[in-house]
Amino acid sequence: MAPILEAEGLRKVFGTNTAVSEVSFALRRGGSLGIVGESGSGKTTTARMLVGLEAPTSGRILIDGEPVGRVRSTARRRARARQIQMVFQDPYSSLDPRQTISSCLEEVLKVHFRHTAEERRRRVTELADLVGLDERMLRGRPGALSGGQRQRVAIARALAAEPEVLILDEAVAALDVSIQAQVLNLLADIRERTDVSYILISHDLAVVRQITEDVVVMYQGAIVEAGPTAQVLDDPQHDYTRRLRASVPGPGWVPGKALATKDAS
Amino acid sequence: MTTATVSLTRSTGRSGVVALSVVAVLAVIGVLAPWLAPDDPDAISLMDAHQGSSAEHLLGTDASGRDLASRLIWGARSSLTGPLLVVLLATVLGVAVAVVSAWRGGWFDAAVSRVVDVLFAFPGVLLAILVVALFGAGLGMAVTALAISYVPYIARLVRGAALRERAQPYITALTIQGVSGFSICVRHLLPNLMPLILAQATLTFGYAMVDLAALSFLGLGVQPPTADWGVMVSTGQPSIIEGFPQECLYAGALIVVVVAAFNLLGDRLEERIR
Amino acid sequence: MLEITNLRVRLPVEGQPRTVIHDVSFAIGAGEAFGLIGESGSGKSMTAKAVARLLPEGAACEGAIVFDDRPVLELGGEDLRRYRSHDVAMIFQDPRASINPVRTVGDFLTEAARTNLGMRRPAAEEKAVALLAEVGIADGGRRLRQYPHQLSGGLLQRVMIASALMGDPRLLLADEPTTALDVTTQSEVMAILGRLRAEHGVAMLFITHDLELAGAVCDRIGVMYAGSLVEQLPSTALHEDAVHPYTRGLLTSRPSVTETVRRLPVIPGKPLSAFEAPDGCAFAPRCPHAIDTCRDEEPALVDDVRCHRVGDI
Repeated sequence: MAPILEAEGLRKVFGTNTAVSEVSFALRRGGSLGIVGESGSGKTTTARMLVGLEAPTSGRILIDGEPVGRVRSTARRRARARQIQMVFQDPYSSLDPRQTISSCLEEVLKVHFRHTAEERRRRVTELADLVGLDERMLRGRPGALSGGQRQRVAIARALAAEPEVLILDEAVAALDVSIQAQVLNLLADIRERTDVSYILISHDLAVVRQITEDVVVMYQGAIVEAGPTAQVLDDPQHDYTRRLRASVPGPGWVPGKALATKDAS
Repeated sequence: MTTATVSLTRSTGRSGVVALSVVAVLAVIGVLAPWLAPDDPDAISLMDAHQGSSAEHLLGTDASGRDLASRLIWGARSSLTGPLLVVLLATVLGVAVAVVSAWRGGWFDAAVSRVVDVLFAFPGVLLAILVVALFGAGLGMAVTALAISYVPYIARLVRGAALRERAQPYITALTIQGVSGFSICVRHLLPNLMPLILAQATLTFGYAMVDLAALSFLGLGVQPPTADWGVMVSTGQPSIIEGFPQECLYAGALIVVVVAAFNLLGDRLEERIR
Repeated sequence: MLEITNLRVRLPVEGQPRTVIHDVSFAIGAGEAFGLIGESGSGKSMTAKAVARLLPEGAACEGAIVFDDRPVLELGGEDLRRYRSHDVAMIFQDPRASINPVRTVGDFLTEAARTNLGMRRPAAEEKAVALLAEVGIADGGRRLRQYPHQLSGGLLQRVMIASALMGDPRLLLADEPTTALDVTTQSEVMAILGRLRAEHGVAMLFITHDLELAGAVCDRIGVMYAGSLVEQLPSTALHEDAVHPYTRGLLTSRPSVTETVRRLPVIPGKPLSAFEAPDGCAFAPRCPHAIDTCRDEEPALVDDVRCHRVGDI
């Protein structure tokens, strides 16, 4: 079966700075791919190219085997929106503070579907059920919700357009530990119940281990290692991946152990 | 206290409520002028010139024997609607320019910013005098000219705020959703900028009042014999030398009170945003 | 060296006093590292601020904080200044927000030493360069003349650590010092902190949301929930011997880098602040073991655990 999403030799140059160079990967239908890296690794720029917020300097993005062009018109953007959606890191600034949750979801439905008011309401309730929001939360504004609840809204909003691929850009990084687990389980449930595929952008190897099957490791704009998540994390081949893996605290961890060779600059 | 006053007090503070009441009372007086004014504001009676306070003329009369109280009451109309029109026109234009410019970005934004910079270098009243001198005096011309001269101030402020708001992830999320730029601006950007726009409009009202009164004083705005506070300050001027400063004083005091009220209100609203 | 007993803190929020720290008691010995762990609203940062006497205006404290027989909450004037300049130092989460961007790194590092300790500039700079070398910044002389924006986040946090050590403090208050940093940088910074603490014999109160990190770098750990310290234990015992349902919940709900589970065991509900907490045990509404007693009676701290069901589970 053809991959749902492919990146071929993606490259992005800002002025004299190459943010992303020669990035290629494939996401299988219904699969989940992690893009791991630290600040400046180019992972966020890659995500922005996938959703059409940035145009690649060179290289192609294929969705369902079809190369996607630049999104210049609103119609093209809508078509892309039905294919790829994104959930952001900060649950506080990613919702319009003046809009009720139900109106936020309805707005997306109005853009993409010709529902009757009745159908739209039913769909909003369906989406709310999917992410575990109740009727009372739907009537409220983001200010009345906790960080975890807001992130559920953001996930529901992203799923409203029924996209093939959901990009989770550090989507659980800002959440409390106990809330993070709830949202990670929710994401696993959603993937089982719908046929959506995930791309998880993260610096958190444990989160990547939990919800992805494949992973690419980015360092300074390029992919340094790729493969099945379990294999890459258990037996990292590239020096940087090893360093990243050794930086994760756990029982018996000694900080800075794997970093002896790196000088401060 | 009713819920409305409670929420008002919370959003503007006690002094804000006082300021708002002053403005409201004066506005109501202007609206009800035909019923409230004891006399015809334009009825000249040279016999009664320069009278002091009396039962017949509560605040006395001016050089032409017109009842000052009635003129002040009728004067509230043009004195308040003039600045209101200036503010409405300037705000609509300024916000439109700012939002389009912030949203489009690129060369369009750069061009708009340069034009705004140039307009900044031009004093508003001077521009208004120029326009009025070219196209003729009158309230309409003065209002239009002043409104245009205020546009850069509003545009610059709102553009900055719109740029900050535009960078918020929720706007990016809407873009990714395929919501059109027009709808994002109208349904999301504008409502979130509204508190700032309202505060700025309120402050602008104060400036507009002073500038319009100044234009009327110079004979370029509202034309005598129409009752208008700015006009009254101007026409009452010769009487000061004759020892009858009432007309100037009363009209001037009202201008000061209204301007102070609007500045206070604007400040409170601005603090509220921060 | 530092002993906190029954600390309670109330803060005015919109005119109403709200409890942010409900009941916290713990002690830190000289040279010891104590990790304070909690989610948002747990009061962990407020505890550190109370120790540094940096609580916001209008805060009301009860209980006692004693540093070397001195009552910290009662210190004033010269004594307070001495306490802050010689005894404790603080490192914050975001180094960029706590350094003046228009002053040089040198000004920043030497200012306190020159004004509080009366050191002369050359002496202060010499000390700063020596400390920068200790945090792994070799070309200290050049760095002193640079501005904060010329330094990366990791480098700036090392500068903050050096600055905290300028007054030779005996207790370091580190409030999420690595949360804003990349993981590899976090590892470096923690390694430097550990080494410096050992060399200078400095004790540390380490505030974090990361249980594993605290377990790895601290001697003992305290877990806070809704303004109360619910459990205290040696970090070597963290994985094996933690008994409080909240601590156990935190440990199991965090995904692991070495294995994938089908579903993560979760703590239902959301973390509460002290003023939102119900009567009885604050954790009861989220606790799988809660019984009626938990909902009615507030548990006391017994053998370093605040839980009614400690013997049953």
